[in-house]
Amino acid sequence: MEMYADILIGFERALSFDALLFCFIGVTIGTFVGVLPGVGALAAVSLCLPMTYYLDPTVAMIMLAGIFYGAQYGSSTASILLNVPGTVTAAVTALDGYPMTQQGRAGLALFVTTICSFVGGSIAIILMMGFTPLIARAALSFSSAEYFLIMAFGLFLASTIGSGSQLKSLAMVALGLTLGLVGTDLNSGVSRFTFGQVELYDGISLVTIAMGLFGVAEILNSIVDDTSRKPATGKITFKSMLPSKAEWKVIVKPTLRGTAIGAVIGALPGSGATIATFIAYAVEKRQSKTPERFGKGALEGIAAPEAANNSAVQSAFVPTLSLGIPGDALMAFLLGAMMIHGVVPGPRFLIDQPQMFWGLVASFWIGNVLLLILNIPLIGVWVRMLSIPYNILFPAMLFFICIGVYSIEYQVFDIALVMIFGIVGLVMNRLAYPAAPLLLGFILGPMMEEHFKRALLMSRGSFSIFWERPISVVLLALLAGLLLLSARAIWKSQRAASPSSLSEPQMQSQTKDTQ
Amino acid sequence: MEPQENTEPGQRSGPWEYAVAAALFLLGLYVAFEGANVGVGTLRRMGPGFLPVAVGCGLALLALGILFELRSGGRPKLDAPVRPLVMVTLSLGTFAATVAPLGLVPATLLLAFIGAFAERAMTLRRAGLTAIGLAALGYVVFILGFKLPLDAFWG
Repeated sequence: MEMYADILIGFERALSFDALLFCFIGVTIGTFVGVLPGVGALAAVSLCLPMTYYLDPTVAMIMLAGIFYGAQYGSSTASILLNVPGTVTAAVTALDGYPMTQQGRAGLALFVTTICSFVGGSIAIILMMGFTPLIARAALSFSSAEYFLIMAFGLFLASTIGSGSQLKSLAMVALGLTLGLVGTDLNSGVSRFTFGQVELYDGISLVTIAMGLFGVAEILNSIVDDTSRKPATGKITFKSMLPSKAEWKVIVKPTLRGTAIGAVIGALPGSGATIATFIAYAVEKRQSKTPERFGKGALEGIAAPEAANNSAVQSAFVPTLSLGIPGDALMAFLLGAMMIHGVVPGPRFLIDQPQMFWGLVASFWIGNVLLLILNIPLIGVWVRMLSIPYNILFPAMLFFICIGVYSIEYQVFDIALVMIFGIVGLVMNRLAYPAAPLLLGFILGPMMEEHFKRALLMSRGSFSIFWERPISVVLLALLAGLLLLSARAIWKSQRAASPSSLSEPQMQSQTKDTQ
Repeated sequence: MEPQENTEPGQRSGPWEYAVAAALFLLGLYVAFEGANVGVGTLRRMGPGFLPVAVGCGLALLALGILFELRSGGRPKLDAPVRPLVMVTLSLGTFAATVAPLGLVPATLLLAFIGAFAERAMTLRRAGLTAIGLAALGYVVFILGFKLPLDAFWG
């Protein structure tokens, strides 16, 4: 029982004082930013990254991950009480959660979403404990050529699977790769694209890009003159939160279905929690004998998506920790944070740093239990948070962003850079250029370059190394298939787009369907 | 933030769409050109310019594709929130310009005070109080607490 011992080591690490403390801080910050509309999890994680520089890497990751899954818990609060989703994933919860508030059942909705989140998250953690070591072991035999192909595959899938123009997504990957080029080339010592700026010799920092594109741009998007948001509910008593026996019965199956959907979709690159929640909701609605209740306060309509979203969030760690390949922008950011802390991601991570991996997994359990406490008995605190006006909040966020980027390398230059990325992020958002592929390209780019060079060095410059081994042939075939598919999709949408009828992207019809 | 749907049925792409795609195209060309200047190397020993050339060409090609795609629809307008854009940019810029010469406290006061007016409904009193509160918080947390190498005031 080697794994059993590892799990014990993990809990020992996660239950130590510093790990517990920072896990608590992480999930609390996460719930906080999740509750508040207009403050995203990615912005929060990137704000906190500089503060973790002095922490032990394991503790740092525990805290950063805590913000991430904590935000998923918190995000349902605002969507249920205000019909303003705290994060994109919570938009689905608002469909049935807000009607429940209008019917005076807000307490019940909040309780059910928290319990379902907990169940979904917990089951996904168990799956993660089983699958991550298996995948990592299988990946140990990979050489640089296979790694390069897997990364290319993941990057391509992650950037083309979403809604919107695939060309724009891919262009953002290329832009991310370009930004990753800035700085001194490690192999030759030549500085690339630094324009003689000393501040750029070390490259652009991940935090600067993430805070600009996700933090500042989000603020610019969220400032609206209407400040009249008030929670629609009075007092939420503990009694009003508890479901009746019949209500318990209603939520069991949707929760389990949602968990399964979330776990599978969350582990795939590019899809992530958002798509998982939409699909879980759609499946419940189709399953139901009374689909007309959906959108009017159906319990299943909040149980399934919340379970899906939390299970997806946990299972997204599987490819990230076993292969070093992140599925979405947040995972990419956590991966980047690991690298900043000197941890090399990839299948060797589990072997080289078992106490870190298992400590992180154990902290997920602890974090989920803490979140249960934070979100049920203390829900009143978060409801009160909702009345903080945004016009006090956003100047504070601007300040934290400035200090955050400054503290990376003590360069004022980075503050100017974050301002520029904020404007770029806003323009991208308005013209439907997605920001997530950019971040993925930026983080994966240098790793891909390294593997590509190493593969060709091993083969003495011959490309045949990319199709010499069965695994790489399969990967190459998958990649080619994906390329063909997306070329076909672009071609079709162009044909359909000719003057009279413009085709809607698939995702849009999906979401329409669920409303 | 999730990417929104790209093509809005029946909407013609506006000048911003074309301008951004064209800018990406030019950026791609520039990156590729600069990469070629620092040395592409050979496949066996790749130079520092190899990846820039590859990425730059890719970016330029994708941008051409986008330009082509835009003919069948896109965003007609940029629809940028002008006031927040101007005030937030100004507030961040002011902070960057003043934090070294004037110190953290004055820079924070300026940042918060200017930034707060990104919202039209902001009052002088509220902006002032927010700024003072943040400056105090920043002083305690970041100078006394985290000991950032910044002066609280000039001098």
